[in-house]
This record gives sequence, C-alpha cells and structure tokens, in this order.
Amino acid sequence: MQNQPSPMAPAPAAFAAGRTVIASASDLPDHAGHAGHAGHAGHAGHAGHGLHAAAPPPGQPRFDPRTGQPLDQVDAKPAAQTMFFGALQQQAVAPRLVVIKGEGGDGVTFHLSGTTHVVGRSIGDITFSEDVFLSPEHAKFSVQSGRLFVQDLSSTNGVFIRIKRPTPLDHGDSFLVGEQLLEIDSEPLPDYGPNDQGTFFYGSPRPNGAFRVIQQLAGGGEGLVKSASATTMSMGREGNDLDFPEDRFISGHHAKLDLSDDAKVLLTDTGSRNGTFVRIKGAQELFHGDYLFVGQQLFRVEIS
Amino acid sequence: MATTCSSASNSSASRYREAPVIVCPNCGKENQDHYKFCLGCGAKLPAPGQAPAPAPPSPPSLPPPAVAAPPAPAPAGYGAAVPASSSPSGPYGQPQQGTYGPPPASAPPAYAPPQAAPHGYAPPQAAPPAPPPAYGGAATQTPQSAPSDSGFRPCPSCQTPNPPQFKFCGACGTPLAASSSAPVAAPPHPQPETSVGPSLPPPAVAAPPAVAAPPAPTPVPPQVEAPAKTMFMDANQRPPMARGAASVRLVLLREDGTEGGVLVIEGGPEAIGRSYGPPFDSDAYLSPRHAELTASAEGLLVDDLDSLNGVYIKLEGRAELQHRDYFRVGQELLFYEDLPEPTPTADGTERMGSPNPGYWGRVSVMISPDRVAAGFPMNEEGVGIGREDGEITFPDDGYVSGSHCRIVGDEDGVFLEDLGSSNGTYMRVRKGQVIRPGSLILVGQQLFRVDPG
Repeated sequence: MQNQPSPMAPAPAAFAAGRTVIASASDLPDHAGHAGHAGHAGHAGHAGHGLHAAAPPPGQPRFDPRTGQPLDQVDAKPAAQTMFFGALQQQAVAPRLVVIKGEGGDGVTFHLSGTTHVVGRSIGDITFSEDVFLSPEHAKFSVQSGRLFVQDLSSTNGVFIRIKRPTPLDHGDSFLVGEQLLEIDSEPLPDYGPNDQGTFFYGSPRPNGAFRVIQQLAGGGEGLVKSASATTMSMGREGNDLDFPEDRFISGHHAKLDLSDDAKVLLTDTGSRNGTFVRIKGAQELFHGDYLFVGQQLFRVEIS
Repeated sequence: MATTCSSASNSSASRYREAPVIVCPNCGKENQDHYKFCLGCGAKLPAPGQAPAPAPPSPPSLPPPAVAAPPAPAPAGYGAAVPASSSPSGPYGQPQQGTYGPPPASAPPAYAPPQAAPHGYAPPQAAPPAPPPAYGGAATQTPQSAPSDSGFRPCPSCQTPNPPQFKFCGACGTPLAASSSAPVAAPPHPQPETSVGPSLPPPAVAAPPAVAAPPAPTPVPPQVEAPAKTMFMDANQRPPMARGAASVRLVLLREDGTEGGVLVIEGGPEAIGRSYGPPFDSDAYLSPRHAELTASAEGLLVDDLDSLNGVYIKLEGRAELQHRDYFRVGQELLFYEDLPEPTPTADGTERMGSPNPGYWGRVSVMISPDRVAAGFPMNEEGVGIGREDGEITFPDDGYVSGSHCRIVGDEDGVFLEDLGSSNGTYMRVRKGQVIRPGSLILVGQQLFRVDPG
C-alpha cells in the first residue's frame, strides 16, 4: 500500500493502492465533475491518501477523513497542490462505498479506486475519527480484478454484512438484529455424567433447545440468554420466541434461526425492514447492493 | 413411617434396575413412577410397566468407592433398592431408590417435606429392630431380609443385624464391637466422631476417641482411600479441645418432615463428603471431600472445599446477594452476577453491542458448571421469580411456587427474598459462612437442621 499516485496510469487497477475518493452522492453519475482533486505530491510514502473534494459544499465532509484536519486548511494552500485529473481517466468505475448512516453526512461516497483501502478510526485511508466503535485500523477493502473483498483487521467490533439469503452460523458467530448484537451458542450441551471425582453436578434441568442465543451488551458483558424451542427460534419486536419490544429498529417478525441438517444454525431474515447482519470471518467478497456495518457506519456497496 | 428399616439386601447390581422411574419418551427426563405427565416437558408418560425400565439413559454409574465396591448383598447398601412404587420424592432429598443421582433432568429429590418417603439412614428410636434403612431411598416397604452371611452383625442389645461398617446399631444406638470380619469390599470409612447412627440421645460414646483423648489413634482399619485417611489425620491433628468444645448437631430431615439421624459435630473442623461414610457416602452429588464443618458458639462454620455442588442454606426472609452467588429455586440452579462496568479496550475502542438500559446484574440458569441455559439481565428495582408470576418464570418446574422469590436491587445492595414459597429458596453457603442454629442446610441431596449441641 505504498505507491505514488500515478496520473498516467490508465486503469484503476494500476492506481495507487488505497486511494480514496470522496464525492457527494449527487456527483456519482458524473465522475468528470471531480475537478478539484488535490494530490499531495510532496508526501511521498503517503501513498493512498486520496483525493479530496475541494471546497466541499455544505453537507459535505469538512474534515479530512484520514487526518482529521479541516479540509479548509488544505484548500487554503492551493499553491502546494498539484491538480490531478486521474479520476477523469477512469474508464471502469471503481467500487464505491456509500455511507447510508454514519459520520460525515449520509450519502457520502468513497470510491475504492486503488487496490486496498483501510478503514479505521485513526489509521487508514478512510477514517471516521468520531466513531468509537471503530478500531484504529478496522477493515481492509481490496479490489482484485474488478472484484471487491473486505477483510476484518482483527477489529474489536468486526464487520457485519447484511444477509440476502439463509446463512449458516457456527457456534460463536455474531449477528445483528435491529440494534441487538446476538451470538449463537450451538455447542452441544455436555453429556450428563460425573466429573473426574465421580460427582454429579446438581444443575437445572436441561432445556430441550438445540442452541441458544446470547445478547452481547454494549460496553461488554452478556445480557439475555435464550434457549431455542426445540430446533427453532424466531426473533422480532413482538410475538416471537425472542422479543425486543424496546428496540425501534427491529421489525415485528425480523429473523429466525433454525437448526440445519449439518448441525449448523441457519439465520434467515423474515422480511425485516432494516435487515439482518452477520459478522464476517476472514475475507469476504462483496457484491453490488451489499450493506455493511463497520463500526457505526452503514455502507452500501456499489460496483460498476 | 412404620417400619423404616430396610435391609440392604438388594444387590447393588440390581438396585439401579429397579429404579422406579419412567423415562419420558419425549425429552428423556426421568420421572417418578406415579407421574402421568413428564415433569420436564409435560408430555404424557407411558404407564410404569411399559416404561423402558432398567438403566435410565444416563444412569450415573456409581463411582467406585462407596457403591460399586460392595459385593452384592450387603454392605454399603445404603442406597438400598426399593420396590418400584414405593417412594415418591420431591426436589432435594433422596432420589427415590438409591440410585445416585437421577440425571439432573430427573426431579431432584425433595428436601422439602413433600410426601411420605422416609429415607432416614437411622431409624427412629422406636423403630422395630432392623438394620438401618437405606437412606438412599424409601425403605418403608422394603422387605426385611438381611442375609446373615453377608457380614451383617447382630446388635448385642436388640439383635438388629447391622451392616459391617456400622459402629453403632442403627436401631438402638448400642455400640457395636469392632468388626473383624468386614468384607474387604466394604468401605469402612472411619468416622472418628461423626456419629451418624442413632438419633436420639447420642450415646455418650458417640464420639469416642477424639474427644476423650485427642491423640488417641482411632482404631480404624487402614484405608485404601486417601480421603478417608486424611480424615483420620484431621481428627488426630485437631488442636486439643476444651472440654466444653462447642458442638452442633445436624439433624437429618426426611422428606416427610420427620427427623432422621443426627450428625454431631464437636469442635472441628470435620470433613464431610462422599468419602466419609454415612450418611453421605451414597450421595453422588457430594464431592469426595465436600466441606469442613466446625462447631462454634455462634453456630456451624461451613468451609466448602471447592466442592462441585456446595452446601446450601434455606433462605429465611431476605439475604444479600453477592456477585457470583448461587441459589436454588425448585429444581433450578441459579447464578447471580453483577454486570461488569464497560471496560475500554487497549486501543480505546468501545465494545459495540445491544443497548444497555442500565443493567446492574444478571441471573443465569445453570445446567453445568459453565453452561448457561438462560440468562436474565436486570435493571428494574425488583425482579420476580416464579412458576407463573414475575419477570423470570419457570412454567415447567413444578417445584417452583407461582410466585417464589424476588431479587431487589437498590442503593443498599442486591437482595434475594423468598416470597413464602412452598419449597423454599436456598442460597449456596459462602466460604467461611457461619450457619446459625435453627437453619436448614442442604448437603448434597439431604436436608439437615442445624441444632445447638
């Protein structure tokens, strides 16, 4: 992720890795509108600091998402800036992250025109300095042959992707339903038997549910734990096995879990309004129309 | 409670098979043989006859020492078998039929005085001559047939045959001569001064060696088992005791509320556990070395030796609930913990999660030492627990009262309060906690009243 912006590079793939382009949503269709990009030519090694929309209109980011410096100051030194028209040369449109909900105004678009882009609170190409749920270096977006991938950089809170079809979960996987962060506990209950001293544990009767859901509280700690009824559990605001009546972002019948044949638990969104998100593991390919939660930032992925 | 005495005539091998339980075809829970519906899931149960009688799904096969060892007919027959149909039992108390431990799913025996299922290990004084009843099970109707060739020794006073490891007649309390012919397999755990035998007036000699002359070696056959030996050492190493050493009596309460045997604790500390002989050796919910008891002027000091299941005290009124306290409600084992303050991570990132409206504690339903079946965070001033009423309900647990107890959290702390439940609320005794006389304590499956000595 070093590389100097190379104005002459003809294709996005050859661009500096990690370049980030901010544009307003209204600019989207017309990339020729990005006239005022400023390249920091003097900062060799600062590869990938992207191009900032000059003099953002009201509602646009007023701070450099990477450095947190007010953009005005940057613009105050026009002499030091070299005009860069690389964006004009982009033939193929780079994948974009559109902020649906988050810091810096909704509708902001980040063009992922390099090969890698790191998102974080303080380090990286795209930063949201006020999102305390972001790790300093949180996630990495990579573009490979026109395909976009996201990878969790061992962040505290992870990256969540909205599910579009029933998704199998393993023991310990996390998912979001409304504002609820839930974890699946599908490890079989231990066999009932004596310990190594021959003593039996005098515990509660065992539930018949095949798995459990554990609510993870903000700030840490486990809250509600609910056992499935047999092999299934429905979740929502009311009338489900597991209800969160106080959660304004949850739908009446939001999602459900079912034990599948291969002993995994299948998470299905049951027509919720805000969607159901699962935490990704490792790297995962993204497609047009995917939604991602990274910290408190909700992005829509646009490709092509 | 007529004849209470059972001989330990049933072979230990057959004991488990005769377990009068019906295994629920739906959930696998063991139910008492008179149940028509499963206590666990409510499913209709097959009639006792058609139940897959023998060998319950996870019949705790007995741990070696106490039970497996004794040869068929005699000794250590405390868990004596009972004919199917004999003993109903409720939570806490004896599992009917001396099987050790019904799997947790099965109704834990009752400590409360439910039906009439005597299980005293020591018959009341008035009981007709007979060997001590199996305290592992209802002995009421067990035919008396102590085989004389199994090491049983007749009491010199009342002729009641006693198992070889008895030091006192189970019927009348008369000291029995030291057994020279105890079967090898019999686990003659030394009982230095734990008199578990006869209940009423404990014979003056009830606690023979240790009290009279501290260093006097108790004439106990060398033990194969370490714990037993340890016990012996403890007795000897006890600091010389003042003559008026405090003593406390633990009176066993049977399921019907009548009194069973008495365990006298003089001074102490005295270890109890599965390795320490009657009345504990057939209780698979007790650790080999479970706790140490010390009598004091204030009551009974219980030092849990990191046992698996602990010792519980019946809650009277309300008591403070501390972080990581366990308590029992009906068949449920509940665990209380303070919820942690949010802890920032090293890099300053805050943990994302469900909105926390100010939860200060959580109650969990424990099915194993580290597995939670259900958890309930609390942020109200009070949280009710009951079968039907309250924020936390156990509709399937017949031993939980409709409105059983409640947890109150206020500026003074967190408290657990029994709401007049039928079966009581029990709190696990904390390390070093002193039990006041008059309290009821649950040790394994047996309930004792702590009386001043």
